Order: sequence, then structure tokens, then C-alpha cells
Amino acid sequence: MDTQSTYNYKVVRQFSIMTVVWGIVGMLVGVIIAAQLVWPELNFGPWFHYGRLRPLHTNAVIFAFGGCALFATSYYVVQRTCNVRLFSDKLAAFTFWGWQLVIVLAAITLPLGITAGKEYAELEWPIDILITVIWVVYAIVFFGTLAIRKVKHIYVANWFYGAFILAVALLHVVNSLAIPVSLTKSYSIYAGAVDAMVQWWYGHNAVGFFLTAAFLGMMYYFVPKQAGRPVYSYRLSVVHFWALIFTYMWAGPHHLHYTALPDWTQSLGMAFSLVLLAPSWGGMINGIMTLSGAWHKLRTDPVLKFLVVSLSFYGMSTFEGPMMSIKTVNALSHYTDWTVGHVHSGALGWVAFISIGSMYYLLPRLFGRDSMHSVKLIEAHFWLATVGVVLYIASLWIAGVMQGLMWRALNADGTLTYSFVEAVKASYPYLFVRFLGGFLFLSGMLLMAYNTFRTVAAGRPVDAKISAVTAHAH
Amino acid sequence: MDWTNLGRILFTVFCFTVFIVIALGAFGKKAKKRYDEAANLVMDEDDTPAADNASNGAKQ
Repeated sequence: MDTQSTYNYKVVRQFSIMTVVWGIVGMLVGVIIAAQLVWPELNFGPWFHYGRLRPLHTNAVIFAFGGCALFATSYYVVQRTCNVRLFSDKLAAFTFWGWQLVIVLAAITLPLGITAGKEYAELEWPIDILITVIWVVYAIVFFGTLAIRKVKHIYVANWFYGAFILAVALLHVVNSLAIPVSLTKSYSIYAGAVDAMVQWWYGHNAVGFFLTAAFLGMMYYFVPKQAGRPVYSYRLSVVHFWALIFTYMWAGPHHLHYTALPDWTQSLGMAFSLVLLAPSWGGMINGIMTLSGAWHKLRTDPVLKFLVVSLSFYGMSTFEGPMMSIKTVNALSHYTDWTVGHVHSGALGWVAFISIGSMYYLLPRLFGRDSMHSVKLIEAHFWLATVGVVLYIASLWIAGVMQGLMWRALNADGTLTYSFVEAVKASYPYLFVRFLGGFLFLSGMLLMAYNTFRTVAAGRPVDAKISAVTAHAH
Repeated sequence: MDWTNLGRILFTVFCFTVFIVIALGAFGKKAKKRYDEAANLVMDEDDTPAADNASNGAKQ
């Protein structure tokens, strides 16, 4: 078969299937640790207790599930919008197998307690170096494909993917700088408040560039394609892109309110977090308005439902985030379950929804089918996921505000009204509802796995031919 | 004068200016036609899922 005339769908297929697999693994670990908070007896031995499994959950859902979804969609979108096959099939295959190796290493080392101790950057230095190598190869494949494109204009989705690849490289290298003392232990080269600031510069931009910019790339391709209409305002997408790029890097200090970080830095982080509301909502409105004139499709198309509801959750969590970054609000919300609820409104509602929608778009096209095996199952998945997220975030709003209020309640003589454990006890019912919400979300993913299996089993791998460049492209 | 700080301030001002220029450019008349073409680019490209679609080459 002449590889020059087709797109490389093989690597997209591999990453897409692993998106579903790692999604289930990561969310299963999430449900397990949610259960451990409700029923502490479920904490077994040194390897399977909450403290070891929690970083496994976050790494699995962000980097394994989210990461595979981003590799799959970025490779698909960059090829389709550049009218050219990937720059190198071998290097693309290397990113696939390398990334799976990183995930497996994470799944082994984290339960063993081998950790750098930095949130979302727990992996130890040998794995960090491996990630760096894979990321450089990813950049070569992605930007190499852009360089050999047959279409003059670089479509906006690629700008978002490109920014994500560059920013994550910078964040990962700077935050992971450490002095190794053995193969499995290293110490960060930063100390004290500087270490904390570097960590949350990394942490918040992991949210901004990994979990936002990259998934916006997905949004700018798959929402117009599934809705059958071009993006509402292309010029807004350009302003949206640059506004996000220039603003996100400054928002990290809001993770360190009322700590040893200088007060002006905290205020700066808060100010930029508030500014972020504008580009975030600009992007959300741009995505949702793409449907104007095609709203009726929402009634019948569950894939479009996933994509559009993801934007609603994106709008909601990017409103909630700036509010929580206000220092007085943060004084109540920080260290409570409200933060956990906020993260999941973004991670489940936005990131997972848009990834699931994009996967339902991709899978039939990658396996030569008209559509997924069952549209009804997609519909069921949609409702399980929606009810799951709503239960999850609503219960943690209540739990979080309650915890914040109990911790700060004072008696007339200035002593604390409640001991810490009383706040824990009062949280139990809400932690159970959170477990239930997570369980529903996971059940939806199992339906997706079955639907994917049937679609793949009845289909055959196809590599679409590269269509002739459209006349006005040059 | 702390030159490092001056450098940081100038960089921030530079970034802000660049953003304003980009935003003005995006709303300019010239950009309109280019952007319309770009937005329609992805729509023109046929990506219909079908087992026997002409644009899909089945793997042997």
C-alpha cells in the first residue's frame, strides 16, 4: 500500500483505544480512593492505601487518559488540517510505545511509594528524563508535520496543540529539575517558598496548557465538524488563543494564598486569575455559538451533546476558578473538598466530556464504520456521565463550604468551636454521594468500552486517503 | 537602577503591546477574508464516516 497517499491512522487508532482503556483504569482508581474515604477499612497494606493510590489516580486520568486522547486527536487533526501524512511514522510509533511505558512505570512506582512528592509531577527522575525524550519526539512529529503541510494557513486547533506541546516541555523540565541521590530518589533544586512557587507555576499551567489549551484544540476541530458548521468566529478564536497564552502563566500563585509566598505575588496571581475569565468565556461562547442554526442536532446527536455539555462545564469551572482565586473566597475554600469538586467539574465535565465526544467521532472513522455500534449506548453514557458529574460536584460544594465554615467557627472566648475530626464526621454523607457520582461516571465509561469493542470488532482498520488540496487553500 | 527589574518590566510591556497589536490585527478588514477561508477549510474537507466511502482507503 502506498503510504504517501494516506493519513497515518494507525497511531491515532492505538492512542484512541488506550484512551478508553486508561480512562477506565484511572477512573476506577478514583472510585476506589473515593470509597476509601467513605469506608476507611478499604485501605490495605502499604501499597494500596489512599496516600499511594491518590497520585496514581491523578497521573492516570491526566497523563494516561487525557494524554492519550491528546496524542490521538492532535495527530489526527494536524494531518487532516494540513492535508499531509505525519512527518514520521517511526517517530510517531515511538511516542506511542514510549508513552505507554511511562504510564506502566508510573503504575508500578507510585504504589511502591517512589515519588518526588510534587503534585502532578510525582514521577522520579529517570521517568522524568524518559518523558522529556518522548516529548521532544512528539514535538518533532507535530511541528515537522506542520512544516510539510500542503495548506498555507495553520488552522487554529493546531495553534492550541502547538502551544500545549511547547508549554508542557518548558513546565516539565523546569519543575522536574532535581539532584538524584539514587535511582529512585531525588531532591528538587529549589527550596522553600521558591520551590512552592515553581511547583504551582507548573501545577496551574498543567491545568492551563495540558488540560485547557490542548483540549481547546480538540474543541476547535471536533465541535465544528460534528455540528457541520464552521467555528462561530475565527477572529475570536485568534484573540482567545493569544489572550490565554499571555495570561495563564501568571495565575499559579493563587494556589499559595495565605502561605509564605510574598503577599504581592498572591495578589498578582489573583488579579490574573480574574482576568482569565474573559478569554475562557470568549472561547466557551465561541464553541457553543458554533451551534447557532444547528441547535436541533442536539436533540438527536449524543456525540454533539458530549461536546456541547463539555463547553458548559468549561464555562462553569472557569467562572468558579477565578471566584475561588479571590483571597477572601479562598480563605473559606482552600484545603476543603470544594477545591476537589472544582477540579472535577473541570476534569470530568470539561476534559473527559470533550475527549469522550471526540473519541466517539474518531472511532467509526478509524475503523471504517458508518457510526458507533450503538448510538443508544452513547446516549446512555451521556446521561450516566452527566448525572455522575452533577452529583459529584454538588456534594463536594456542600461538603467544602461546610468544612470551611466549621474550621473557622469560633466560640465567644476565641477557641475553636469544632475539632477537625468533627468536620470529617459531618462530611461522610457527602463523600458517599461523591463516590456514587464517580461510580456512575465510571459505569458510563464501561458502556463506552463495550461500544468501542463492538465497533472495532465489526470494523476494519482504514487509513483515509489524502484528498487533493482544495482550490482556495493556496 | 535595577536592570533586571527594568528588563522584566519592559518584557511585560512588550507582551501587552504585542497582544494589543494581535487583537487589532484580528479585527482588521484584511483578516476577515483570510479567517473566513480558514474557518471553512476544515468544513470543506470530507471526513464522512462510511465503510465504503470513496475517500477511505481500506487496508488490505
